[in-house]
Amino acid sequence: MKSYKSLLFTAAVSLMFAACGDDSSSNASPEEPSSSSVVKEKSSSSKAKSSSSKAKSSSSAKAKSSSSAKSSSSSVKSSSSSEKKKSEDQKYVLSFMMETSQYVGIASLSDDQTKIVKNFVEAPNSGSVMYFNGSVYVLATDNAMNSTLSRYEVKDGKMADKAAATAKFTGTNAIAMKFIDDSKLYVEQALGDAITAVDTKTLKTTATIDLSSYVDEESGALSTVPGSAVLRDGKLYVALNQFVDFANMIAGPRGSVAIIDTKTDKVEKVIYTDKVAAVGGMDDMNNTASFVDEKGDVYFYSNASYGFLEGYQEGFVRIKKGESEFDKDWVFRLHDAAYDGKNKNNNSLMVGGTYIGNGQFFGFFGNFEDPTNFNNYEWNFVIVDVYKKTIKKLDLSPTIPWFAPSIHLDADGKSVLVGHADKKGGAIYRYTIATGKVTKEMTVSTGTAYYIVPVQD
Amino acid sequence: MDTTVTREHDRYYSYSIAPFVNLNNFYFDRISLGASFGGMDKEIQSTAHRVKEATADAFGYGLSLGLEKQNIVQGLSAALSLNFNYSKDRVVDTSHVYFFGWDKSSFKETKRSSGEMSMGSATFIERDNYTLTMPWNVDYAFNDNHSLSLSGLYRYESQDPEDKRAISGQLLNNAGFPGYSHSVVAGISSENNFWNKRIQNVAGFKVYYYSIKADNVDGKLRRLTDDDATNKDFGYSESLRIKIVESFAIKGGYQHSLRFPTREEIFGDGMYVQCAPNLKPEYSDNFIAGAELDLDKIPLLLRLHLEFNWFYLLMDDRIYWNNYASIPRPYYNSVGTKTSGFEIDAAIDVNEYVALSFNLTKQDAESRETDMSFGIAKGLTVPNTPTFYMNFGAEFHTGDLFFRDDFFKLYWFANYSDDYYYGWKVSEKQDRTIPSSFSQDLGVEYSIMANKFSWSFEIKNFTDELVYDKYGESKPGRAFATKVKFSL
Repeated sequence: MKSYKSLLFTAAVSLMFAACGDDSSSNASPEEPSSSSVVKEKSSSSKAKSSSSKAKSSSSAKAKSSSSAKSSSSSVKSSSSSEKKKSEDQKYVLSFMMETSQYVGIASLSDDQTKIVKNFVEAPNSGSVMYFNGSVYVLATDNAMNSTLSRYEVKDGKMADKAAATAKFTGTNAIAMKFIDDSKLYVEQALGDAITAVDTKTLKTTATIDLSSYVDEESGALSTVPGSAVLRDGKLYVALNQFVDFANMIAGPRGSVAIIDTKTDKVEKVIYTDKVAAVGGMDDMNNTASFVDEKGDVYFYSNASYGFLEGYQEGFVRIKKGESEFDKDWVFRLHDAAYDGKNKNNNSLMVGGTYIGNGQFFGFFGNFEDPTNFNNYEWNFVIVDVYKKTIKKLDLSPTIPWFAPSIHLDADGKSVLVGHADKKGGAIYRYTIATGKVTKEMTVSTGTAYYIVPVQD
Repeated sequence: MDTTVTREHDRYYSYSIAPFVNLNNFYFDRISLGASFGGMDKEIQSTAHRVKEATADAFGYGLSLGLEKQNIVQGLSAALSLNFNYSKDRVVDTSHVYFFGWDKSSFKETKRSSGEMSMGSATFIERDNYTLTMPWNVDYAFNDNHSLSLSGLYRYESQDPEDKRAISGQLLNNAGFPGYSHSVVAGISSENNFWNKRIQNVAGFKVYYYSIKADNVDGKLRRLTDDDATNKDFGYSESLRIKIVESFAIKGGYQHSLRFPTREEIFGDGMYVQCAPNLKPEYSDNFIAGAELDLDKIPLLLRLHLEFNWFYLLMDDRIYWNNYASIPRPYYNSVGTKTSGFEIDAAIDVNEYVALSFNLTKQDAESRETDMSFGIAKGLTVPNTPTFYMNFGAEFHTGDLFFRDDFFKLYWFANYSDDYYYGWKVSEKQDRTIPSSFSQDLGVEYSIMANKFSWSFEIKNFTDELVYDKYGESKPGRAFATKVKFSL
């Protein structure tokens, strides 16, 4: 019997605006963040404001440097140099994956990777790594789909060897989580038709949101399988993957999103769209594959189970600000967009990525058309513009498909960090949003870069 | 906290009947004609969670013909056999209830079958299998010290799997691809003894060939990219044994061998295991050296056998597939590994009633190259491989106890395995290990009529210790097993 396959792909941005204490804010635009202010209201409203304003300035800085990049390369260099210094001081929760394990710890990108990894703690590779309010959270599942959520305290830039608190989830393959506020964390029970609210410090269960009555039986689904989620205005929009075939990871034929009131921990409604197949991903482990833009519109992407099934439609769909239904008049099919010199393509986005502002989503793009080439580096990092409906390939060699979780927006929101490997070796690269330049930050020789989460309180 | 679980749903029945007749001296020294029929029926048990309904069953029959002839001309003998087998097997997992862990109260019930071995993966697969094998050997002894042997095996296999759920409307076909294969392994070996057989040298050469074909079927996520694969290669070996004195010998050897990929490894299942027509065989170069000591005239002991073997194994193009990501992909040739170590064997017959045994293995395995596909660096300890383990036991036996030609045996057996790493050894803080374990078995066996009828009873792990398998799965605690065997 083939054992269940859990996925790993996601990008993580949950912490990129950790100052906001909320990943939706990170996904989100610098200018949206009602949810981030919700988070910070409890701990530090002034901090939240500064974070928000910082984000705004970062956004405008992006626009400016983008326009000045052509005319003044020296200013770009200068900016790059100061950013480099800054990145040397910046600490990251890094995770390196090797087959069935990942090795997690805190370090700078200027450190020698082969040395630091020798002091990292080990966890199963299937699961999430996040940083929040002075702690590293690791949610990982084993072969029996039993998951353990561990909280490691961080002191003086070092991660404790032993977890300060743990919580167990039996048999439900919980691999994705979402910080709601300073005291509440949602853990998604992928196979349990439930989302469990836990206390962020003690990790004790405070509420359980039952999703079992929302199985899309009309579409042949067996289970709701909550996945990609995004916060907006105190509501959590959770993609329900509605699996119809678990052995082959086939999600439902139509998009399905549950809207949950995070104050009452109750499902308000479940909405559907026939424009695309199931949206989001069960294995959106950084919970960043869906996002809120600056206008407050929520975007979900469907990879249509990678196009293996006829009739399944891929593409981005959205829920406009103030609405609680899908926008019936809007869809962005990536297959219909020009890519890599061709008018159309048959690629899909891997679950993961990060929103970088101005309607742009940094993702990971490819297909499985040539399975014989599967381990031969054929996926590319791209920027998808949901406003202009364009796709642009980054200037990096193709790589293997399990780098989606490594996509992280850096703490200042000005650049994206990604893991990468090709036949020449592995590395962490930085993509500077304003200039579009890609620079190498770290050589990775032991394992592949998996999570690159900025440490920022 | 009590973490004890009771594994149920583990009934297992099997039976086989294999009548045969030998005809002697009809030109051949022996002509064997045989038939066989057998069946199996078992409840499937999971090591990770409760399973209540899933079952597997099989039945099959076969026919065989064997021919042997000695001294066709002086020193030349030959043997050939032909075996045909048909079997049908089924795996049925159509439960509507899936248990999360072992708790009877924690489950999910679905309106349509979801399966319980793996959540939402209901299965009803039936396979028809046909197998034809033809082993042969031709030996020629030039004299008492020098001989040449030609041997080989032809094998034809055909499989026709059927997903009964797909036939009745399920979206996807989860059975494998139907198809057939031919394979031949043929070898020649030369044995030469010198110096009153104190020096023995055996050199061998083998050729391998196989051809596999698969047929596309509807209901798959992916069509086959290639529907046939052919491969051929060769291997060779050399071993030398030198008897220093009558009771002491040293030995050494080298072997270059290979393992062809299997049908599933090449063609996949059309679902999450993709087709890999370019998959290469796994190659290994094995070196061994050792010594043997046999003593039978020592005080207080009837016989003592001691053996020491050192080994050094190099593997290339390891055929590998990892299921950690929900992405369809093929098997591929991953990093080579290097394994070195030694093993010690001891067998002592204290007297005609009591025997003792001991075996110890120490080994280290590490990667020999970098594989960025899975981030494997060079020189890391291979995961999930025990580095030190041993077993030892004692046995009391006697014959003609109650009747003529009866045999009674009482035994105790112990196993120890040191802890080892779950993943590649990367960090000093790596504590994800499969713990060390020590277990003991007790058994009794009694047979009559020169072992034609026997009964055995065994208590495995009678001290009920925690014992682990690879990937840290716990093996059963105290378990009881009994077996009755009858042969005509």
